[in-house]
Amino acid sequence: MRSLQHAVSIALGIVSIFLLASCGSGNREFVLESIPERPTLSGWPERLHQRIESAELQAMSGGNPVESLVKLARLYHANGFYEEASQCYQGLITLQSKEAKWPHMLAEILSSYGKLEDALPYRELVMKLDPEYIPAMVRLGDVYLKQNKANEAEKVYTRVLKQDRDNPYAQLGLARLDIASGDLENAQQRLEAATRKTSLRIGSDLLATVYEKRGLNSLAAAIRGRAKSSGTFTDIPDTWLFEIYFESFNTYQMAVAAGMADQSGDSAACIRLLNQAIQLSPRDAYLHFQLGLVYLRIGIDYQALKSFEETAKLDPKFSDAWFQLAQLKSKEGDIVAATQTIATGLYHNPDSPSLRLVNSERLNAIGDLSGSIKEAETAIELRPEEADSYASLAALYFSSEQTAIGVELMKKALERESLHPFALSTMAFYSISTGQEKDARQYIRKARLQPRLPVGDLKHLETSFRQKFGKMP
Amino acid sequence: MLCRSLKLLLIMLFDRRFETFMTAALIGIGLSACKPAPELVEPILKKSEKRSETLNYYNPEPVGRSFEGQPWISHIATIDLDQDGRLDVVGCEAKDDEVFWLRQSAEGSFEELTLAEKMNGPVHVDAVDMDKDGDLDLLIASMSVIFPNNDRIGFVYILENDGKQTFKRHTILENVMRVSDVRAGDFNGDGELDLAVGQFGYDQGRILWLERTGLWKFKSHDLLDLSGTVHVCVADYDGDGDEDIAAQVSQQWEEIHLFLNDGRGNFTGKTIFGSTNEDFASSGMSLGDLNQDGRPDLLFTNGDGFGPTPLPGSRPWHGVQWLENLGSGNFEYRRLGYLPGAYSPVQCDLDQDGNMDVLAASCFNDWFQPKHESLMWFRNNGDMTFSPRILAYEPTHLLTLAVDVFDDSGKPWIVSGAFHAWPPYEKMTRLSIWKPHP
Repeated sequence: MRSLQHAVSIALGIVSIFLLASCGSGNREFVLESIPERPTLSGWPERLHQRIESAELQAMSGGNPVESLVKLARLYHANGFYEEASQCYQGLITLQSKEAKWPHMLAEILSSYGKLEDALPYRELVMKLDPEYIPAMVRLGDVYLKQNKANEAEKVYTRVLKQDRDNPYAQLGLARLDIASGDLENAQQRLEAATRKTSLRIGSDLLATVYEKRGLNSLAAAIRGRAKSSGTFTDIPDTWLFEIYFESFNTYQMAVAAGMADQSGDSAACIRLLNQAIQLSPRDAYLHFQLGLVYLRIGIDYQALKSFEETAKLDPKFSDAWFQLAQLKSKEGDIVAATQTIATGLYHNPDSPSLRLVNSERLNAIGDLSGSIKEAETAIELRPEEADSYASLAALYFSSEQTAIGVELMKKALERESLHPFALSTMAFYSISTGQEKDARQYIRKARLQPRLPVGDLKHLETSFRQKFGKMP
Repeated sequence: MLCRSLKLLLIMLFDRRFETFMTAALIGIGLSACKPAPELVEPILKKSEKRSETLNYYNPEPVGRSFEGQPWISHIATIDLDQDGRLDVVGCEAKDDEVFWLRQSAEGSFEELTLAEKMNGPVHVDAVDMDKDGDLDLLIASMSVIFPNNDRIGFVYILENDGKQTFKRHTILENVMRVSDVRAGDFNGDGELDLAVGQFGYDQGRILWLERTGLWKFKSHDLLDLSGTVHVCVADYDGDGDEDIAAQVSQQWEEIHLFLNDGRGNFTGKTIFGSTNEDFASSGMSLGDLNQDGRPDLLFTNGDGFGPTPLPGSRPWHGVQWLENLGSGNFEYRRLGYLPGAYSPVQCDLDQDGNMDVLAASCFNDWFQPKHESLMWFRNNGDMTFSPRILAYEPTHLLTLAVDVFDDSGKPWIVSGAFHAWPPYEKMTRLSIWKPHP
């Protein structure tokens, strides 16, 4: 029996060696099948050509073909070659069947086009392979939501909340389901939780609507009054996806990804990616400017200054860079430098309304009213559709007691933006003080529709109206 | 199956160590020799290939008044406004707050007239006889301020035609979230035209319908409270004899909603398209019947280039697609192809081969570089596959298109409107008529 077993053992050993060899060869064959036809790369940096070629060669003859396919997938994905990346991911899903990243990446590509039906099986696979990766779970919930599968969406979002109790994206998804089913009270609670967690970034837009629907108008106004347009929503940070952009040679897509990271609160990643983009394209003024804005937002003014200086140096016609530089120099208290910056900026950009307006403010500050008025008038000529320029010029006339001109200009501001808060409050106050009851009432009525007008200002107007006319507006 | 059998045989015959080794080896290679070839997903058209140039097929000529500064043509539509038998164009100039009329005074000859001023940032015009007096009135959606603003500064106007193309303005909605679209339809079956309204807003927005309660009076009914509605399209999508509403919603939602009508103005909503990509950038939707099966389909673009960068630009997923109406309110998504900065999808049979093609414009493209497509024709090959053909690289910044037959030749002309709100401010146009190359 032992000898038989021995003989069989040797025979099967040979078979298994053959099998292993054939399987290994099959592995590479399979990788080869998954390598897409190389797209036209004309116009792309030579380094991308080289890296793709190298990854292909490694996949074909190197020691670790699967790892080379991963490299190839990332290169294609990061540079916007989505069909090629999809082919690589398809192969990787089979080759590394326990790795959740690959179906996630493929699902992301499909979803980016709106191919949710195609993405769904991959989303469900990710959930099975890595039930703890929350961005993928939220995405799955979103897919169900957008496919009108409310029960499935609710289950997934609820599962997210079991792992991450306050996850704002799951709360938002559940709130949408509540709104659809008419349960506004529950929706309110969920959205309040999401906004608490994210300092009003996620969910506040819908929360304002829910407050209004429930008659809680002052709470809605408090949200709406925070900004002319907040647009605070940002997508759920997805580290698996974000990391591929470091493989990119498309600096615009890198800038988009960096911007997304910044909006999600990850300024460090944003700065890292922008710096990498700048290395690839050091003369791209927009990249330097975007970097400057990030530094400015996180309060590193000296770095912001450097970035804006670089922007202006690379493209002197980048008027916003001069504007930001002037603002920063004013903030530092260096009025001479600010003045010089505005002058240089205007030399290169005589048609910049924002530089004209900032120069108008500067001239007004030093008592040159006529110069200030002239600059504001130029700003209006350059951008006649904007209410702000009219309101600024009107304010100059009001301050110099040329009220009639100021009134006409404020009316023009309101023609362009009927709820312009400064123009509304000024005109309401002017109408009260000149005894024009009907006009004053109308302006106050409109002012009540403007949540950006501070509550104290509105109350002051109402009190002034009552004192003047002896009744409520 | 062979691999599994061999593994089973080995496990049965050998000791545990060998079994473990073999099992590990087989798992380690992922049973790859036995794996099927990968199934490719439905091909996504490549950016750089499969497209051809068909330049000079149509040639643009400037039309309308001369301009200074940067034109902001936000919408155009073809209509025989004065019903003289010659097709005209009506449109909106958002920066100048005007609604204009490009009147075809003689065949192929156009004069531009201003129909209404101080229209608060008009962005959509539609012509319909609202008061049943035999002439065409105009429905106007106005945003007041085009760039981000969440104030309640939107308007819906009806410009009432006195029959001589002099218009009286009726304000139907004011102090509402910025309005991006308004269309007419009889939603409650009372024989009077009601209105479907899309309020883009910014942080808050809404889709609603306005029930006609008097000649110029309406009662509002909310359908959905989401920001970012771009367009609403009215049609009988489920074939039950009443008019339904479809709405394209952008911002972070990126969805298309269908509101099915029970014939009495009671709507049931559902999502018929969605992307989980918050940067999908929905930019326009129009009605069509691409497969000519009698059921209204929806064409839509994604190409709004604004995002978290100082410069608006294209994305790899920008493009043109359609939702095929399968009946009973069910739709299937079909991608037509890549078009960076895509806007204004229009159905037309451009080559008059009997198959419906799709035309779309590009507003956000890398205009600093030469040779970026501004007008794209997705030619129907006759089997509902579409070949992308570049019709033009300039004029640039095209936001709105209309296609129609303007003369006796029977060949369609294209009208385009440009929206120059961001650089480069070169090669600027306002309105162009594109006629087929003789």
